[in-house]
Order: sequence, then structure tokens, then C-alpha cells
Amino acid sequence: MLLMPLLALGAAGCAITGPADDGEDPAGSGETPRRAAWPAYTSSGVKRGQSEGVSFAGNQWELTRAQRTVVKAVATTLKVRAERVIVAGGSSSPSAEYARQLGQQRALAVMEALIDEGIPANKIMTVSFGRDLPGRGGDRVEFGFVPTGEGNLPPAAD
Amino acid sequence: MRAFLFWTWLLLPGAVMPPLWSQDHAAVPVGLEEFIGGTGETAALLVREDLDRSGVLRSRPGLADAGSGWVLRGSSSAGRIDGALLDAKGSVVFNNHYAEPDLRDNAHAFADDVVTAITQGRGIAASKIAFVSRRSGSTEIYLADSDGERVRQVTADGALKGSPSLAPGSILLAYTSWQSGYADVMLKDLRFGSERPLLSAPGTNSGAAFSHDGTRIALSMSHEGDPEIYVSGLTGQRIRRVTASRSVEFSPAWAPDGNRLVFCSDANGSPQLFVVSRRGGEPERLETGYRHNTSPDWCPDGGSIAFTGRQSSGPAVILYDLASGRSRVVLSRAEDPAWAPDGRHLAAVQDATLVVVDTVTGVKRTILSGFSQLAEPAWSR
Repeated sequence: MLLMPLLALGAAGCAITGPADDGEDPAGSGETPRRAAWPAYTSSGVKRGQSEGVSFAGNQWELTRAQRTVVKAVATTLKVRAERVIVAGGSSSPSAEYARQLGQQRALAVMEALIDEGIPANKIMTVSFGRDLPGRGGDRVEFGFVPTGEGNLPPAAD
Repeated sequence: MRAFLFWTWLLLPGAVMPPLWSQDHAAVPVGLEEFIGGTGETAALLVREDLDRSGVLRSRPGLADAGSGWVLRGSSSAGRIDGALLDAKGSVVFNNHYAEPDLRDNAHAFADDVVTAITQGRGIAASKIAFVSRRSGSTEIYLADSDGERVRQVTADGALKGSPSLAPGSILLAYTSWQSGYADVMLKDLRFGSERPLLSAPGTNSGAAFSHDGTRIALSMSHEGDPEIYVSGLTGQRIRRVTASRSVEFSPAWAPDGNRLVFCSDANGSPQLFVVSRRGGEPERLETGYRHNTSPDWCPDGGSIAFTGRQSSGPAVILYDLASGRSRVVLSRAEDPAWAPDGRHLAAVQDATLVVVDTVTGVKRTILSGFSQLAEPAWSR
């Protein structure tokens, strides 16, 4: 389901266009969604460091073939273990806010690749820590595996 | 020939100018009589320092040296101040009673009233600066007076934090917190200490920026696919998406009229500045002359945008003039600029210290040092 807006945005290429002006609306026009309750990436119930992470160069976030191979291995693990996964992104950009958003973009790119590998979107949660990615830090995406039933997870729809 | 090339260069949009400080700037002298009362001496000292920091006024002792004819008269006891401003004819322009519990608040309010009465502009003495530091061991938000005094830690839960923004009057603070394990925008009432999550959509909610009138917040959210700019009211119940692209959009800041936003996008490979209507539409790229542009802040006078420009020599605080399309360096080795409410002073981080620079005279003051990993200052409007 998250993939659909990604594809729709992709059609615009690099152009940055927004919704058309539809008049005065101080309160905004869209209902604000709320994140489902998941355990924190750093909580004790989340198994970190069990899979190779994905490294990025410079401002890169689109996945190369080699990076997709890493993601494919994570997808295979998820299918075997019937676990869920937290995809945690980071960046070493000197701008703190760019690092946060670039880390998120990297986590979303990996999430999209996991969906391409057959992992349902509701088994994936993304988070970005910017320059403060726990563990090795830097320009990386790391994985945290969440055993089924750990934390206040939403019921699986698959 | 050389002169021709020089002037041609000046006219190029995106040309980077060297520092250019006003040579004919002259602050208006204001005579300062001795303040009577038990706390009069301290009050007069604080008011004098505030006037001198304003950049537009300079204090002179007593009546005789005032020159311009403006004179301050005051008394202070138990921290309260009765303060008056007299013009050249000796007429009372105003005579106010300042009765906040803390002498500093009263002195700052008096000084700001003097600045406004003489220049019709905003003073900065009573404004606040929020910033991030790991001084306590964890990343927390701190709040300081604009002169660097009365620093207080306003968050303390140990969770990762960043990107503070202050509403006008320094009553509300918005910031990003990972307290839930994920990046949410929190809204904190600084008078009572209460706080609540404002936006906690899936993905990273961060980079909140109050509009100049404090009624709206712009930020980056990523629940619809990738980081885009959104606008929200202060309830967070309904939001509007402003941008849509397959790239990273972040760090929005409001034009003073509340109708436009400046933000960063890496759609062209590295972060660049764009301006867009708060209702969306086609953004316009600003040709700043720098390849890596982040942390924009729109001057309260509307005429320029301060940002961090990065080159091989490192970061610098740059001013981009919207009318001419030219950039000039304000501070080298500095980043994260934040405008003061007077549209004249900028706060920034330089060599791990918090500095304030007068963009007219170039005078720089270090107001805070010794705060571990000090970053992301935000000045109240």
C-alpha cells in the first residue's frame, strides 16, 4: 500500500511539484495518519546486528544491484522466521536535518525493495536516526528483527 | 577591462560576494541617567547592555553627551522597574511600569520598548534562543536569553532530540523527539512545562518551523512515500502537503507574510534552496552560487534568506538577497543560522560556540561556549 504513493511520485521524476492552490484552508486539508504501535528499534526485544546492513555513498539512496542482494537475503530471513522488521536509516551528512531525512529516504528505499521481494508492508516499519544511527552509524541502513508478539504490534493482515 | 569584468560579476545571479559591512552605519545615541532605587544600578547596567547589543542604539551616560536628545530615566526596587523615555524637547514619550518577578525580564522589556519607540523596529533583548546540546550526557533542548544568560534545560527524558523551533513570545517550543522510538514532532508549552506529540505519522516527522505569526507549522513528513514538505495548524489534526517529488525535501522556513516557504531539496543531486507557495505549486530554485545549501531561515524583513553554504573550505553562513539574487558570506566556519526578530542579527554555531553577528556592522559576539555538541539554534520571533 505504501508503494502506490511512491510510484505516483516517481512519475514526476525530479520535478518538485505540489498540490494545486485550492484556496484558504488554515487547518490543512488532509487527515493526519498516526503510526501503528511498534517497539523501538533500540528496545531489548528487537534483535539487531543479525543481518548485514546496507551501506550508501555520498547522498545516494537508490539501491544498486549489490544492495538489493543484501535486501533479498533479509527478505528470505523474514519469510523463514515469520518475523517483522524495523528498517533503520542513517547518514553522516554534516547537516543534521538532511541526515535525518536522507536516512529516512534510504530506509524507505530498502522498505520498497523488501516489498518487491514479497514482504507485506505491514511487516515493515521504518525509522531514521540521522547522524545518530545506533551501532556502527554512518551512511547505512540496519535491520532490527521483531519476533511476532513482541511489543504492541498490529494484527497481521496477511 | 578589469572594471567591466568586476561589475559583470556583481550582476550575475548566484554570484558570491565577499563580506560587505556598512561603513556609514551609526547607532543613535541615547542618554542614560542613573537609575534610583535598591536595584537601580543593576537595572541600568542591564538596560545599557541591551541598548548597546541592539545595534541601532548606543548608550551614553547622562544628559549632556546624548547628542540626539533621547534620554532614559528610571528607578528600580525589588527587581521592578519604572522606566521613561524623553525626547529632545524633554517630553515624555512613554513612562512604563515593569513588574515581572525577575529584574532581567523587566530590563529587557524596557530596552525593547525604547528600541521600538525610537526606531519603530523590533528589539531583541527579551527574545530567546533554543538549541540542542549533549551537555547533560544525552541530546536535550536548552533555552537561553538572547544575551546568553539564564540558560535552562527544557527537556530531560534522555531520548534523542533535534530541530527546535520557537513560537513568537517564546511560549511554545516545537522539536523532534525519538522518545517513542520514532521521530515525532513534539509541542511544549514553556510556561507550564506540559507537552504533547503534535505529529507522529509513519516515517520521520521532523524539521518543524513556526510561521512568523505562530499560527502554523511547516515540517518534513514521509508517510506518503518520501520526505516532503507539509503545513499543519497547531492541533496537528489536519495537514497539507506542499511538495511532491522523488527526492528529499527538508528544512522548511516561512516567509514573514506566511504565504511562502523556503526549503531544501536534493532533487538535483545535492541540497539546494527552493521557494514555494504554502499551498503548493511549482517551486522556484534560488541560484545561491553554492552547491550544498542547508538550514535556510527567511529574514523577518522579507528581503533575504540566511543559510549554510558548504564548499571544500568548509561551512559558512551566507546571506542570499532576494532582490539582486546575490549571496554574501556573513560568517566563515559557521553553520545553522537563525534570524533574530529584528531582522538584523543572526545566531549561528561557530567552532562549537553559539555566536550572534550583526549583519549590518559585522560585529560578532560569542554568547555561549562549553556546551557539548551545541547545534541547531532557533531564535524566537
